[in-house]
Amino acid sequence: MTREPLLSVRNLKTYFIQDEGLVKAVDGVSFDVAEGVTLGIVGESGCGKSVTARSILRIVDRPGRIVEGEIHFRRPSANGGPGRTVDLATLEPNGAEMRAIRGAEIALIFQEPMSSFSPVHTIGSQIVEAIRLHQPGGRREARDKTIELLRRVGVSSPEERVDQLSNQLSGGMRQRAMIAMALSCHPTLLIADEPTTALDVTTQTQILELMRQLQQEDGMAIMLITHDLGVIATMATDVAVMYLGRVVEQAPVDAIFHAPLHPYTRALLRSIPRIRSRARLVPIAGAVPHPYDRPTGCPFHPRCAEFKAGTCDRQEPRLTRIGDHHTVSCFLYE
Amino acid sequence: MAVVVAVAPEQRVFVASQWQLMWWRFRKHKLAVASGVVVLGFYLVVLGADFLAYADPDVSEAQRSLMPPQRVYWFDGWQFGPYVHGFKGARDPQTFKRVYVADPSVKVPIRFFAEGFEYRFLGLIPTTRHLIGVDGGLDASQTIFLLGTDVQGRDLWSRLMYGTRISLTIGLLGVTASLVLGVVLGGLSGFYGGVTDTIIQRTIEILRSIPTIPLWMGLAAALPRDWSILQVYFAITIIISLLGWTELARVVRGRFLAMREEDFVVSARLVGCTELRTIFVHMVPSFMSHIIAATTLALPAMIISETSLSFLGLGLRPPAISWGVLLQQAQNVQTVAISPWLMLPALPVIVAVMAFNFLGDGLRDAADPYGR
Amino acid sequence: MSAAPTPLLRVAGLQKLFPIRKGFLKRTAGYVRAVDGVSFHIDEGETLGLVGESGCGKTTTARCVLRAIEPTAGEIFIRVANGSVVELGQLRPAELRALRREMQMIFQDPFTSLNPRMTLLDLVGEPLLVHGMKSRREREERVADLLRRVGLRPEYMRRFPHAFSGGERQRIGIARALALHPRLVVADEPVSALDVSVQAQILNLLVDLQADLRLTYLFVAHDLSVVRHISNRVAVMYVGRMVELAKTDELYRAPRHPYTAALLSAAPEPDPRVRSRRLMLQGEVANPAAPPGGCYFHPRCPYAIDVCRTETPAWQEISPAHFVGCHRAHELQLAGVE
Repeated sequence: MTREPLLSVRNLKTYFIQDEGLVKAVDGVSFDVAEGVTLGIVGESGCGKSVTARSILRIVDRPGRIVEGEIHFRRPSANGGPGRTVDLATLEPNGAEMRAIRGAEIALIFQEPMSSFSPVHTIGSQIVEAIRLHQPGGRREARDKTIELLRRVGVSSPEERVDQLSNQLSGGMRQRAMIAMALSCHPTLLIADEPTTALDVTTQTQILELMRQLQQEDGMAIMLITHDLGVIATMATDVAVMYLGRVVEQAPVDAIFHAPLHPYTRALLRSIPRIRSRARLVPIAGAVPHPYDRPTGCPFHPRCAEFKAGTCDRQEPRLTRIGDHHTVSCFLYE
Repeated sequence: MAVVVAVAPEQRVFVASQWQLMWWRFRKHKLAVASGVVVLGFYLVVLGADFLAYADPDVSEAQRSLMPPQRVYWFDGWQFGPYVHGFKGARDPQTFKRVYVADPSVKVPIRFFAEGFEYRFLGLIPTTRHLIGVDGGLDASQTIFLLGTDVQGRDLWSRLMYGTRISLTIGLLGVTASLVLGVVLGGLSGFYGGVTDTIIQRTIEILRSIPTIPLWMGLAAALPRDWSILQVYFAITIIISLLGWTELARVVRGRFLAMREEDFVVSARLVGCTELRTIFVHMVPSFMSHIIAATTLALPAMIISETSLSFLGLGLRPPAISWGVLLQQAQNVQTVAISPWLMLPALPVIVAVMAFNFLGDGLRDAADPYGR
Repeated sequence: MSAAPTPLLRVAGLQKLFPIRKGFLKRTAGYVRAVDGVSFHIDEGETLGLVGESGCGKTTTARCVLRAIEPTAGEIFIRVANGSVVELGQLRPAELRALRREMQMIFQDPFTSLNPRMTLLDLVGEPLLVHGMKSRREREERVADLLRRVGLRPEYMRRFPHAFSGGERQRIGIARALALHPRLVVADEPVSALDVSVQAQILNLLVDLQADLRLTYLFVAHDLSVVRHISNRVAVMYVGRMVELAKTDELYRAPRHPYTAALLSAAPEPDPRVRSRRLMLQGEVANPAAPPGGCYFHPRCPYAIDVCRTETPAWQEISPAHFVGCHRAHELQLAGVE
């Protein structure tokens, strides 16, 4: 692991400047994604996980914008040698380089596949479009490739499906087609934003299994964004836990679930119902604060069981390294 | 042990009702607020048309037909004292047209709250006071014609004030009638569904598929010639609203249908609310604001309908005065070429229609303050 | 075992068909069999969990029980306060309204289920008002009491719902549901719209309220972990039919229907060490407008045999109080959890 990571986000800050106030959706987020692994990003609503993903792809909706930070992405080279690293945060959001990266080298799959496909064009034509945008070759060739891709992601009778509209497919099939489109240009990084949240549990298992299998074959890295700790435990190699725009803890998946350090991670794991037990749950007090009135100091302090007055509400904890691969942002460890 | 908690300013929003939230949102829409002020101004004109007019709109005088607008001089020397010059009318010996020449030696001072013809203010208080006028009231030999006169020598400004009253109230009455029809029929359609719904919806489709101008012409032609102004006025209102209600009925029906399935409406039924309470406490307030917006947006169409009907000679007829009737005088290209001020009544039509549209847009955007 | 008392709620042969209308004249072209012959009972003070995937009819069942939707067929018996048993289908509208005191609902989405134009006082006080508590003072006192009970400050009763977070709104919804001292509470996915960190608060609140007020819950959810925490018995539905019904621990430990087993195995557990063997189902949930013949589950079932394709399995009591609808229930050895 001496090579530099595929994606390295440093102190990313994405703010939304609105009439009602400033929303610090992402407030100093740092993490790395190594080649070929799955980084799980877990957090509740308003923790900034989706905005982080959108910042990386430079598709943050107005009035949001990146106000600080770096997003280093190592672009693959044609001959297989070490690629060139670019800082995505400095690129023009709709410039040539960003467009060459987005959708091709970094692909995205959304929660709601229904809205990601145009309802008036066939599934096939949209994937063909994506292929021809980034790769040389004719329409015929692209169509063959599309059918092959659909077959690969487990769409039954792809020769027929390729000419169907997205609303003719079931939710699971649409998500598979979405994955096919994302994989069409052989991305090195796949960002999956709540890819299975809209799906039933039995379909979710299929899609997660598919993603894992495709990762083994293609060797891409996956950034999996979800609120579901179960999905994270199933899929991730490393996990970053986010709360109110910050990464509060990052560690390998086993450490997060079996030796969590941050009070939020620990409380979260105690509070979720488990299928193997009926024991009374230990809830976290309070609710996630509204983004307009963020607490001062550590954002978790009003709900924290280990709150130290005078410290946690006054200063902001730094991300501290505990052991080789475990970082945590809490005064207990400073 | 109830503690009185002081409401901090930022918590005002927590106890703010629907209308307050809507007002806060509407306030941000500057163009709509400005349009609202304009609309308000128009209705003040409606209320005080006779006060704002300074000449009896029906008094004609052959001696001063087609007079051009007068120039108003605001300062008499260094002192504020608006006045106009007297006019001398003479017939051009070659063209036999009347030409008017300002006579700089005659200053006709404009007086505020001057005496004039008698009327009832707001229809109640008999008075002779008008916003402006000249000394001597009606009997004065010299008077003012801010916007000139028409063929019969009637003062255009005063007629415009009266026309505004008629045109805007006909719009308002028309919209009210459509609203009643639309809400009742749309409500029935949306609430009961089934056969009722089908019948009402098909009726709407048929009504909407009839070309409007021929229909109006037919209906207007059917009005007996000997009806009084008042009767024609109401008949026209009804004709206009007969077509206007369909759009509102669709809006109401759509809202009803959507609302029936809303969780909070189901919840109201499940706690034991009667149908009536469910409709009037839960459903109607939720789409009232939408209805108000839709109504505001329907008004300009009403105004245009009246204007075009009357313009074509199918709506109100003289001696009634409305924007359409006033514009009727500008039908002839030659007249317009010689007396362009006869086109002036088109201006309030344009301004009113635009103001209502902007106001309606603003209201529609503010109508749902709970949208996430 | 002593003779069991009459259950609080008994549902027999419940069916709900939604017509599919087509064409200009809106002719009925077929039916979506949303709920197709569901029978169960709930004893007083008990929680029955109703689980299944989207479109399985669990929400429709719940709403039919409260007659929020009119069932197409079937009977719903409820034992009312004076001990007599009433069949809901026979009631006139006014009688049904009066009976609303006995049964209430907690909705899934706390953002859509509270009228945004009403204050807390009006929201929680409305059931009291429509059932005859005309005095405002009295209502205020009772509402304050209810708000305290669900963990909200009574001083907030003049506020509107938009002042509250999702978890707090759900508490308001619970207070509204409990205002009339109902005996049966139907909770339709009450925590699935909430943040993970708030779910536990609401689940614990529901458990505590049940103990304090001797409530009976019909708890609808898609999340098997949530259901395990609150239910005494669990019923599993698939495409409008019930496939298995048993005591919670028994169902989780030793499921008898292949679909239950698949659901249990599909639930992603928050523990990377149990990633192991997943029983993965092929295909997707059948279309309730055109379900397959025989057992609806047979196209996805790894154990399907010929009879499954042609005959509808009988609803049988395979062991005491454990019901299952599967032709091969007796021979299969299925894995559960723990």
